[in-house]
Amino acid sequence: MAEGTAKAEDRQFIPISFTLNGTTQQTQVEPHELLIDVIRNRFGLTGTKRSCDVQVCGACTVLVDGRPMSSCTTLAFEARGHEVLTIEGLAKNGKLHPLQAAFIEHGGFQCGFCTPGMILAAKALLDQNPEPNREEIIHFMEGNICRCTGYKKILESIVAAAKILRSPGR
Amino acid sequence: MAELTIVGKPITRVDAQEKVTGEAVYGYDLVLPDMLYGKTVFSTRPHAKIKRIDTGKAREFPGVVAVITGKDAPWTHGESIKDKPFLAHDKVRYIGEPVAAVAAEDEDTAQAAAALIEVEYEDLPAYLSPEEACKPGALPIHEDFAGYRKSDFIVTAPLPNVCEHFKLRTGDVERGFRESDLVLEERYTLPTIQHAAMEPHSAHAQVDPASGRVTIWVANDAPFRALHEIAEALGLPLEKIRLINPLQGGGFGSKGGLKVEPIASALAYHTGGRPVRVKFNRQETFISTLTRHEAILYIKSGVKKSGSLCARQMTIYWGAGAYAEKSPTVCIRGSLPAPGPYRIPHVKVDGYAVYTNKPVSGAFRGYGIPQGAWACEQHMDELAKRLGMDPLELRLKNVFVDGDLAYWGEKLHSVGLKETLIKAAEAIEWGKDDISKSKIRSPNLKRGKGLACISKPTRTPTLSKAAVLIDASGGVTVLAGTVEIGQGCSTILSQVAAEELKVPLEKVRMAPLDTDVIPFDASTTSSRSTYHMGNAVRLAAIDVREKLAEMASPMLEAGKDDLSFADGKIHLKEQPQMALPIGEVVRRRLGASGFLRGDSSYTFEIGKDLDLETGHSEHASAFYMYATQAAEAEVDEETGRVRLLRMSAAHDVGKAINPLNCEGQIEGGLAMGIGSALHEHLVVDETGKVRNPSFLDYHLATSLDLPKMIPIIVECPEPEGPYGAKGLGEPGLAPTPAAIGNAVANALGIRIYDLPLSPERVYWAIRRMKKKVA
Amino acid sequence: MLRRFRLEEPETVKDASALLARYGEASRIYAGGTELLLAMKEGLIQYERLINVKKIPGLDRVELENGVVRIGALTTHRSLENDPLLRQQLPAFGQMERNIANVRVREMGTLGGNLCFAEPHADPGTLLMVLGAKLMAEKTSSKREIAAEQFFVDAYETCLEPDELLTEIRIPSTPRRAGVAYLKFGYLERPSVGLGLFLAWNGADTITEARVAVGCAGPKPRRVEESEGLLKGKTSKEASALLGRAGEIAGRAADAISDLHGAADYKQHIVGVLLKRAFQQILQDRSSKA
Ligand SMILES: Cc1cc2nc3c(=O)[nH]c(=O)nc-3n(C[C@H](O)[C@H](O)[C@H](O)COP(=O)(O)OP(=O)(O)OC[C@H]3O[C@@H](n4cnc5c(N)ncnc54)[C@H](O)[C@@H]3O)c2cc1C
Ligand code: FES
Ligand code: FES
Repeated sequence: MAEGTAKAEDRQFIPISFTLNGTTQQTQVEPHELLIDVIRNRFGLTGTKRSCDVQVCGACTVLVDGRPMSSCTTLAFEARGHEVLTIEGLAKNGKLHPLQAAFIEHGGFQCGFCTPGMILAAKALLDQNPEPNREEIIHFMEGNICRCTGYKKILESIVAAAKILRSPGR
Repeated sequence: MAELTIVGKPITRVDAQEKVTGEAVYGYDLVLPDMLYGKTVFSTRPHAKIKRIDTGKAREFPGVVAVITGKDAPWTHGESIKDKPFLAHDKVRYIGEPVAAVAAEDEDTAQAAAALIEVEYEDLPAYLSPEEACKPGALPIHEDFAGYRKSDFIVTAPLPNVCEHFKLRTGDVERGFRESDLVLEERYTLPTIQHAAMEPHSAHAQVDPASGRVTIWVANDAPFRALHEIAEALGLPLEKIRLINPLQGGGFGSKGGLKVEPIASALAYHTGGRPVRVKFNRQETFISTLTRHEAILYIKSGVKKSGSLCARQMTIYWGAGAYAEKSPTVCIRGSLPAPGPYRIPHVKVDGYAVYTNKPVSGAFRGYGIPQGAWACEQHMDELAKRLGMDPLELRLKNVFVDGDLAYWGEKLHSVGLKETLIKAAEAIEWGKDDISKSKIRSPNLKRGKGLACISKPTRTPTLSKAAVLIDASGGVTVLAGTVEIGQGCSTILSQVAAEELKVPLEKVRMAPLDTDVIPFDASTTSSRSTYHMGNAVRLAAIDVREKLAEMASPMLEAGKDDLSFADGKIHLKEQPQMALPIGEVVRRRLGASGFLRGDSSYTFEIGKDLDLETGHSEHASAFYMYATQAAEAEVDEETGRVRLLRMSAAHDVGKAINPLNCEGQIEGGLAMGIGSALHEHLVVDETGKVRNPSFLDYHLATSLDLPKMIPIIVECPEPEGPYGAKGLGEPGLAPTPAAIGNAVANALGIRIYDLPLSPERVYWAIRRMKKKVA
Repeated sequence: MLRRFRLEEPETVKDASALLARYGEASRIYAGGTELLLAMKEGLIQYERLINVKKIPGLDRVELENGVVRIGALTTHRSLENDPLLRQQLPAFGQMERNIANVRVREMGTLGGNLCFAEPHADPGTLLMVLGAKLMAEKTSSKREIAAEQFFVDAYETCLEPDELLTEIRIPSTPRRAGVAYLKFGYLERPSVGLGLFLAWNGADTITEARVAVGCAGPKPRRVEESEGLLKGKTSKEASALLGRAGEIAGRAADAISDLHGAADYKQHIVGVLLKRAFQQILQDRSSKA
């Protein structure tokens, strides 16, 4: 129990309803709870990682209505009424998303700790801009840090996935 | 050798699915039933006596289960010098040293209670520079140094605060200098940097009250070494400790030794048998875990007009930080090859690992090689300039080739260095500077090219054991103590097992790493695993294959030698249609739940140990990794900003068991090397405090910072290595800063001796030169 | 870890202001939270109450009215970066927005939050000064207009009263014969030096108006009238020759401090370099338009 400045009898609970990976969730959160903690601790989805805790690295990236957010510095109540996508919700019926497949195919990760955030950020990019050029990819992905790969294979993975996602018949 | 079916192929990773779906459970994710949450209190003084610790308020805080200080944990540990208390004993030696810890029912409670612990200090003078700390007259940071338990290879010096003195003595450097046409002496420095693996540190521990057995869940890069170190410290027999290794989100050396483990295990003695988790956040990871050695290097060389090196002398001060950790072995293995991969008749090296009141230094990808290379490889270019020689030519003239006797007394073989030099240079169109320079659009931009080469030894001798199991369904399980840090060992080792047993890769599974089950392995460090564990897994697979052939021979009514393996089956060489699935062989003989096991053990024998007086050794290393990197840089003279246009990296890996993986290691190393060249610096201010313990102010290379990368795999096979393989994990970042430094010097005509090459540093260097000229 | 606090969610500016008045220093406006939550997680500041203003309608619009671009204080950097009106009316502003932080911070962080936090290492304040922007502040009983130059008092300190909210940023459209550039220089996550330049010409290539502002290097962004004076009334060519001096003056005026981003004298020097480059960029834009 944190000794906050607000008094204990003042504890406030905000009822929220939101979609998590396609499933509607109703729960209550306190104002100070962070989205990352609710996702990891309450829903047990540990694919969302905490690394820098200051919105720099992107390991904690989740998509809220398709937009990338640092869940380490987003209050949980902000999910209210929105659609939250974490890495666990990306594959559909056991079938990997083309980005996931491309990251495997092109060696877009090593330790994998940055990978959930990296893939979700890339998804946000490709949803907004299906045919990004190199500069656009780098500019968008600059806020996702990988200490292992040197980024080259990550960029190659994104380019490859973009191509697949654009291919007719998909 | 039989034709290879899977070794040498760019196979995608075997641990891929779990990592792209978020299912992978890292140490940081692990939740144990009934777990308590730990929080650590850190020293706020760089050097001070602890007068008093008041834990009263924390103990009374609701939800707190245990509060401990150094008094509750009277143990010390260390890789080769047992100088580090689990929690500070009577004094603290750096800001960030663990002083007390709390275990509570939840994380917030632990944190709130930890904030209530009061520590009173009496300050002592702090030493923040290794060169200062070992000046005669400096006060000791470790008063009881002489009494510490130490490994027998530790050599001390009659200087204060030196925890290791490495000596290399070959020929007579004074004579060498006299015989030289040109003698040059310089000083280079590198600052403290940090690994900054994306997953911060954490450990879980539990003590079984009945048996006293300690179980630790930790993403350590050397579980068996950690187990030994903890057992030694606690005075327990090895079987009383168990380490379970969850997945690791990067390490780069930071997760070896003991970091959070001592705090977690000390707490676990006070929780009535409940497991406790201690997690460091990013800031705590920055100040309290591990850093790369800052170093000050003096280098003096004598050379003939022809370019032949005559003599080289180096004195290196390695900033150990407050505790020895792996400093003694970094000092030894970093100082030994610091004069570079060159034929030099007269060599003298003195390496000193020196205590300071700064965060602890230790293993960092490259283990001392990047520091030596920063000095040596830029120094080579300065020699070349004075000789009027092309830097590539000077190197080609002097570098090690097969059959050379290295200055540490070892006859070298399988030296792919020349090939790496030539290929790396070619890849950036070495010598064609005019083309590149003509592309410059602004007069304040200057372009240049530079290269640097290295050789890196691996820790030798070391032992790897392995087992390979075949079950009745034809599944293959590999038991290997190599830790998957991200480097891809699980893929490589699976490939090796699949190759020897000729089974599809999908049939191979890596057993989870638990020291109760897995055979011993020295460590996942020093780029040793592909070679050592690769050999061990290969031998274990051969062992089980032989047993299988023996079993199958009556079933197929053929002699053992008439049998062959393919596609998960064993068949008659002459009549391939006469075949049995390998699982079927096991089932027929051992039943549906039976399995067949092969075991192995691999060490590279070195004969005599390193001679502590001369640094000589017939086999300093099981194998050597050779690499050259070349950079093309553009410098903005008005701001000092260095932009890299392209970088090539040619690495002699012996044999690429998985080229995709090799490229990944090279590119990742290169990015880290570029970061260390241009950005990284863990700033410790004059009060001993880390000023930038956050990704906001400690800049890691992002996708914006990186040039076009050209990884080049060179294969000069190592006869002892599995399929000819050497190692690759570390060298990727070792020559990088020097190659960039040389490119910058080539662009500007200015040598910069200190890292990082921040815009400001480069700018002032340009200004100073312009003033001199004017 | 964040300490416990209460959340208020007013639906009008007046209510928000009343809450601020009622709870005083123990409360704070919460917009995107990208600055506030960071500081609170670090334990640097603490509040009993956060007042979420994102339920107040109408504060996240970008509109053009009588030659003035009006930007709601709650507009996020990301929507400003992509805003078609802004791209057309104030391309330099859109460009500056595109280069703030990373995409996640831009998605959450608001322009108003950026200005109100008055963190020295920030971009918009500097550019707004040369654009001649006005900031609209509002509380229960009154509204007022503050010139961008007057807004920043010190590092982390603005002239807003405790119960005042920033509601809107008003930027006059750039005249036809004028150019704007914002350049920044950085080495760490946030910018180390920022420089904004506005130049207007008459038909005879004489600079009729020059505005120079420097930011990040010192505690707050500021205009540099002395440098402006040097450039005003000169032809482009004459002004070019005076850039060195104008840059030196601007560098000194920046009040640069030495910190992790660099030494004060280095930042001063960079101010000069950026001024020169901003000037060249505006000339280039002008000639490519012509
Ligand atoms: C990693 C990182 C990188 C960054 N890089 C840059 C950069 O390159 N350039 C740059 O310019 N900035 C940068 N920033 C700062 C960023 O732009 C700001 O964090 C953001 O704009 C703040 O907006 P917010 O809505 O999140 O503010 P909040 O955090 O919600 O609020 C900030 C402060 O402003 C007050 N406030 C907010 N809105 C109002 C209002 N309408 N009226 C009165 N008071 C109000 C709050 O009470 C609080 O004190 C960076 C930030 C981070 C975390
Ligand atoms: S953990 Fe959230 S951005 Fe790094
Ligand atoms: S794969 Fe390890 S951090 Fe990106």
